[in-house]
Amino acid sequence: MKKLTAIFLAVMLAATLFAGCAQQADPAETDSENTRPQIAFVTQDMQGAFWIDMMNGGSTAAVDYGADLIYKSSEASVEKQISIIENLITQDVDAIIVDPINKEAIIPVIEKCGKAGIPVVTAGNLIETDYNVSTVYNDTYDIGVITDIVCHMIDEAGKVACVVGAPGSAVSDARQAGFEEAVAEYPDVTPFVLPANWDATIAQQMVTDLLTTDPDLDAVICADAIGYQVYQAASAAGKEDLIITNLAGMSENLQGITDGMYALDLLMGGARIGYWNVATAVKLAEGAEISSVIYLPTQIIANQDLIDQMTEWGITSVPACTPEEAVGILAGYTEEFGPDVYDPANYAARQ
Amino acid sequence: MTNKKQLDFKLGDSVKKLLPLIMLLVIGAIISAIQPAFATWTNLTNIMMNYAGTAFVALGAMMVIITGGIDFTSAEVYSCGSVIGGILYLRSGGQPILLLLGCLMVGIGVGVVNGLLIAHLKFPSFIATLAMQSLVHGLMLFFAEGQIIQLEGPVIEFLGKGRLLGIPVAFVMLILFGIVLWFVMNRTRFGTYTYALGGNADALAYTGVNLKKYTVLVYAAAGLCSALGTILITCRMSAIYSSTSSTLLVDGIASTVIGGTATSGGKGTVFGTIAGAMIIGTIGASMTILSVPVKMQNVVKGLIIIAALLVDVLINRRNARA
Repeated sequence: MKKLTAIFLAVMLAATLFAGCAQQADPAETDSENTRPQIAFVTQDMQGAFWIDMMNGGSTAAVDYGADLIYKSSEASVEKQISIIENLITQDVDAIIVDPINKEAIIPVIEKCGKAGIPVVTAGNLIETDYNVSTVYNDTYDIGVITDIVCHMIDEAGKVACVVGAPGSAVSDARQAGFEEAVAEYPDVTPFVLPANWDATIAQQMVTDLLTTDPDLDAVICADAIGYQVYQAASAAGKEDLIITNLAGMSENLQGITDGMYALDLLMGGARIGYWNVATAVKLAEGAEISSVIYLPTQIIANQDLIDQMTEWGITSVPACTPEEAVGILAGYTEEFGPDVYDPANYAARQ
Repeated sequence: MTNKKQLDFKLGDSVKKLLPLIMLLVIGAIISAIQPAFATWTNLTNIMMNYAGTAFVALGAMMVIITGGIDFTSAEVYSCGSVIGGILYLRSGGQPILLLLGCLMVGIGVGVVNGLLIAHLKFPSFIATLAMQSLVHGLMLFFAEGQIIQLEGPVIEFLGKGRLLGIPVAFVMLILFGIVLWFVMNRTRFGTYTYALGGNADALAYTGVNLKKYTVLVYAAAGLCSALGTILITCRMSAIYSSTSSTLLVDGIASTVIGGTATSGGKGTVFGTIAGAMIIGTIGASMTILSVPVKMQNVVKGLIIIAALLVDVLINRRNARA
């Protein structure tokens, strides 16, 4: 048995060595002849449809912009995220995109990047240092608009829940803040916040539990693309009239709006976001001057009836489109942000 | 004058075994007193339905912990099993049997590999299952490609949300499986050896029992339990996401420990574990039902779990002294 163990360990060691050698060979070959920008994208995680879509979009951008792109997953760990970026500084990449897990914890390492001459794109988060460009998805503002729409749908009185991620997560806190700020304007609306940790299973359980004590719940605003699980919980409870809103504009969910499962969604698009962030990073790596904050154009996706009502209510600060129009927009991100047309200066103000 | 010793008593074995159930009833009574809606049939059956899958995972954890080991792969069995099952389901045009077979294949496969690493290569279970956790997670990402797969059909509806005489099918399946597993653990050689592996493995070896074989069987059985839990959770969700459950592993282990399974090995019961899972479910549901402030939920949940474990420890110490 000791012999078997020794052979197994030797095989594992050899495999690791071969993998390491293969990786090291590539940079040596490319260093002397490669003028393509080296971009690193440090994600919060790599599991989940949104992240995969984002990576696919980013990879497409790398091809279109002639860049070399590597992805690193922080696996939801702040320490790991900082460590990865420090390694990337050592590797002297041309630009780093990071989706920060914690807005404050990431600042020192962004400053290190800046001092090393490596520009940073902080994806989806407003972070203010002298060395980064923040690409903002309008989370706080858009969730507030969605909350306004929902409150109007229930005649400004009733019960509305918001399913968020986990307290402490920058994105979750921003979306929760947007909901709470907006719902405070409606004194006859009782709000609930359900911290589902971005976990669809937990979201379904929490909505199920809430419907037990509050069967007259009117609406659930999802700060993530987990509307389908909320729909499952509502169906199981016989609550077919529950108003459900989704977020992120995943193409799988658009048909749900047409079918009446969801009232609305927010057009963001994982692939679109990935493409946009990589395109911005390449521009930075090539020396472009970009405003410290740029905004992703978003739209409310809803059926035409609701869009007309939004106009009547005066909720028009965020443009709106139908699911059919959204399909086209989501599929056309290469035309929207492609190398021939994309000028970051056009995104310096909220659309 | 009353002799103090005459006031001491040793809790009978039957009461000890019922302790997790007693704790469940006490916690439920306290929550019901604060929020009467907790004690409704709707809420109680929701907890049964929502946590039956977790209970299956906890039963697998129970068997492994009884042997003195640990298994960190249950949450990844869920994620990878549901993805593989979902892919088979899609490619077959929606055959639910292939969804079930995919989940079972992954669960039992991972369990067997865990067992082989631990029994034959003598890896500590902590390290072996942590490494397998990473490997299976990677496989899930590789196969999933970010898909969200929505599931439909009468079998999925029945398993996920169906009821028999008002009781969720998932919970009925849990009880039936629990009866079978109780029989296996208490009336078969497998069960005897499982307890002995955790109680005194050396003595068991001296009797000529093939420890490696039974270690592999235990981890395979744990994988089977995780797979059954995967099937129920996936059917209840009616969807497959390419992500790992954030709480399944911890809830599974906490359930069995609260249910009386000793982390040192050699001790644990099937129905204690099931009661432990329902305690976890009750605590989880109470956070929403009692409108506990968001930032306090994890603190409150942790405190209740510590209190439940403390009761178990104190009673066991009293029994040891008596």
